[in-house]
Amino acid sequence: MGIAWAIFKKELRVTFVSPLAWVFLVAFLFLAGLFFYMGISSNGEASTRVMMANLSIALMFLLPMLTMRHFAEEARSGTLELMMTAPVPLWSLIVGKWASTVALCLVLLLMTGLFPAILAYYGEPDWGVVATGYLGLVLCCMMFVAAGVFSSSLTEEPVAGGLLGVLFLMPFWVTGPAAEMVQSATARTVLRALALRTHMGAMSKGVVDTADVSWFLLGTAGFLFLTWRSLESRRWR
Amino acid sequence: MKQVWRRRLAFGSNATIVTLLGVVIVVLLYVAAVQTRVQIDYSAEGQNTLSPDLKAKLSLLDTDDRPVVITAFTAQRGKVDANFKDRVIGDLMTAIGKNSQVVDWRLIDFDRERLTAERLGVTEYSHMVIQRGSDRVDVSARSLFRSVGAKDKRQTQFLGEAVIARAFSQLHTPRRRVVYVLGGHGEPAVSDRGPTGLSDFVQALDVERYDVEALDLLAAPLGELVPVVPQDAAVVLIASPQAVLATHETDALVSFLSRGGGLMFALDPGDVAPTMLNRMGVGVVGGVASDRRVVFPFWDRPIPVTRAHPVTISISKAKLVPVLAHIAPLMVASTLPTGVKISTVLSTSRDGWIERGGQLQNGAPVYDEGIDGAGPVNLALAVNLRPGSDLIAAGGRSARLMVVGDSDFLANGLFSDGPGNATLALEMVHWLAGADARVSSVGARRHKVRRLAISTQQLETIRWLSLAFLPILVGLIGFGVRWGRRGR
Repeated sequence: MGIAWAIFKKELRVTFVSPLAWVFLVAFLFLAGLFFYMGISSNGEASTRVMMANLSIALMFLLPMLTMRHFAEEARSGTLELMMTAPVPLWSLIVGKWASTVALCLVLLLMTGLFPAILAYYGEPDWGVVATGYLGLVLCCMMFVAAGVFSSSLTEEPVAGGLLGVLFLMPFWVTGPAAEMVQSATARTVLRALALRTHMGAMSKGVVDTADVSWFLLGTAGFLFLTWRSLESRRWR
Repeated sequence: MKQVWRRRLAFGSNATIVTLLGVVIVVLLYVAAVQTRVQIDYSAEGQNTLSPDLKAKLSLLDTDDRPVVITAFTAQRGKVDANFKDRVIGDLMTAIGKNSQVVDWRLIDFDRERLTAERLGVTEYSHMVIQRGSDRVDVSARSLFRSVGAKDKRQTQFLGEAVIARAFSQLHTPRRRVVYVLGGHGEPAVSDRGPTGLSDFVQALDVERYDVEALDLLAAPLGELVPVVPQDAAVVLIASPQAVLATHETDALVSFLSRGGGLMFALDPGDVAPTMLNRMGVGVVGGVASDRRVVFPFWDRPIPVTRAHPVTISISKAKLVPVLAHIAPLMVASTLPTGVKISTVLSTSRDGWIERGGQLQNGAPVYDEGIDGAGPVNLALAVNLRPGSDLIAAGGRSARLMVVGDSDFLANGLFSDGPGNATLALEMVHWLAGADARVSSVGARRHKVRRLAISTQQLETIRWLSLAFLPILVGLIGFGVRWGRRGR
């Protein structure tokens, strides 16, 4: 645990001195502001729902760009081999890197607290809905970062890692609209179960469903497990 | 030993198998989570939690185990409330889908999937079709949404949950019944979409699986010697007749009652009260029903007191107030004829009276002893007729009548605007048709929209705060960090 904590702190420090993180922060906050403004100007409701729904999609594209360097950069520079041979448990390496990016996301989400504050100033937002919406975004970040970490572990090219991450996450987006187009009820059920919209949609309106929370947590665990298998395979490939 | 196994599983095809096994376990865990799901609604007033009534209807559908498909169509793009409409329908469908094993739903883009709309014969946005096998119930956009408020404060309300609960109950009673509306005496027209017409009532009846037909008892139909109420009639409505019913018309209605039919009278002050009512011990008194508690600002719209009766269960449970306007006071004879039982459905409060003229106070009438009649005043009465009574000969079937001292509550002008009017009117029809099992369904629960009270200037401020403030602040901090590191 101590090693994972050390890796977490080191990764966080590195993240905040890299210009990429700051560009990411600015881009994310601009998009969050844009979605928030779009939401209230289009329907005049004291709700963050439009922002939450759109941000979860935006994070699909943004987060892999943030995580793309985690292992790909290490592999390219040769430091990954060094780390693999060091007496460091693989899981602590993975969890440390993953947690550092999740922490960055939490900082970001904290900053967007300005938007509910604006709503509270001009109206009466439903705080239960706002809280569950944020819970949904945190779970989204956890899963998307895990997917990004996994894609980064598959290649030595950071850009390719980022694009792969987007590719892995895209099905969770497209299955939402696709579910409404298919005729078969079974296919529709499967596609809806896969769709981010189904799981995020419930939370962004104030409902915490244990199945939705499990979807995010198991998705996170699944991608971290695949990262572990991918890195482990480097030992014998 | 443990180390050896770990190494074996980490290499070659074993590694692939372990990876696949891991993925399978994740999928299985998710399936288990879906099977044992628990939902907690943190929204204010539990807006996302289905009402117990709708849940009960869904569990009834589940026990039947026949698949139900809901096809909902999107709202017209570009319209002010299009997003709101699509969102609330989507939310409700999702909640229904999660609470049922047999209900499958689709939200169809009306503009993009015209073929589906054509196949189902749907020609309007935000329409909904509920199908189970060959049974089908249509829910129109008009019954799902309604606009309230003045021009600049107009809001769209979603009444979907109650409407869909009703639609589900219709799937349990597939046969359509017919409500006949008597004509020929200056009654309001069923097809009239104006404020005095009955088109909204007819539409609501259609959702409840009642067909509405006009009834003419002045002439005998082909093949009959005298005018008769058709055999398929479940209920006959007589709304505000302006002329006396002919003897043969009354005879046809009495004959209909003897068959176990249901008659509904909606009479206004000054209307010609059918003589058959007197034979049952019901009279229409001159004057207008008044009360101290009225629907502001109308002095002739007393807030009715609902009495214990099957038709008032729903409105009482949902705390819905029916709004009746300019009501004819009803009287019950002190001695009722044999076989007749009369129950009060609606009345004024103890402070109510029958207004017949006299003094005004702040423009509103007050009770004048000697001129006005003392209250409480009956506004609606339910009559049960047993065989062996004056109207139904022994050997006939029991019949039901509903007498309301107002026809406006059924007219378009009040039917949708009076909070309890639609529910009350439909419950009356169900009771008259003998469909007691369908009485006492859910009242309309409204979807509350939390609006922001902001001016254009304030919106401009919010735009700059949200679009520029945070990105510029964070950009400056980032620039500072980079600058600081460069200086080291």
